[in-house]
Amino acid sequence: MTKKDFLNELTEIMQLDEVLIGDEVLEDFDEWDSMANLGVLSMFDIEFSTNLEIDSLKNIKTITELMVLAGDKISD
Amino acid sequence: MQSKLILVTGVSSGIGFQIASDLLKESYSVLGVSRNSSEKVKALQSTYPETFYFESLDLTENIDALPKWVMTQSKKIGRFSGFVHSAGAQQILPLQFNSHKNMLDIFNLNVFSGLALAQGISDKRVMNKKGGSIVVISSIASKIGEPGLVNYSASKAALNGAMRTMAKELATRNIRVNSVLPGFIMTEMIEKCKDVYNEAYIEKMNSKYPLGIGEPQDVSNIVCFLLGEKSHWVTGSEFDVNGGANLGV
Repeated sequence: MTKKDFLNELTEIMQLDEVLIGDEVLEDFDEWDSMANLGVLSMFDIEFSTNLEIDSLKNIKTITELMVLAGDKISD
Repeated sequence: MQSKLILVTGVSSGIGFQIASDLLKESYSVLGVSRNSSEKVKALQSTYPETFYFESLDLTENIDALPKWVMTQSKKIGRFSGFVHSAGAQQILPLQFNSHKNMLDIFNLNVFSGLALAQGISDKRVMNKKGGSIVVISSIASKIGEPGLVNYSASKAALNGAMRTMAKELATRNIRVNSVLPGFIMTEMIEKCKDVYNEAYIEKMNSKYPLGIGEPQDVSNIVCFLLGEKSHWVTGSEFDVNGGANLGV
């Protein structure tokens, strides 16, 4: 998956009007809530075959940190 | 001020039409959906040209596209404050003649299209920021067995189960979800099927309903209540509307 696809998918999960550009702080969004967290777990499972634990999202503050969890499965 | 725009499926006749009609009388705006238009729909369009929108759509054709379809409608006419899934099909089919296709035909319309539309309506970009109300029209058949209704009753029970989970998921955003379980309602669909619903059948039904069999208005009354502010503390509930039929023999 490309970074652009990842950001589009995350925008859909968080149901935002404006597409994310990648340098946002997730904590600044009301939409970064428990349902969005579940959506991200599903995305990682479906797109990257990675089973994240919900706890692994607790300390995630930025989109960059979130993308690190996907490792090399996100390309430029 | 928050909009009062409600999506109603199955609007061309019966319960769906009655709900749309009553909402329009109560100054709501309504986006009505059904596979085909009808004389009654045309009459509503002419009476409420500013507040009644109609879209002809087969809800079973591309179910995965329905959430996006809702968003497109919302961009055109505004944010929604509610959704009533009244579209539904019934087939009378003994279990021994059942097939996966028959099951899917019923579930696609009665359940899956409703869930896809609820997904679209509850999107933060579509629903009013202060929340809203979703009502699914289930059936007494979800709780009481009736020969030949295996797919129909299973689909309506599935709606009740989905309703409870949606209610819990969406409560944090003040979106309420409830289901209404009508008993036997005299609709145009019933009147058209005189071979099945003949005089003897209607008489038998009447004997099972302490308050007699119902009218679409009886269902619409409670749906309008569930869409309105007076039910603001009500979610995750099933409402029997059946003239006492669930009291037993």
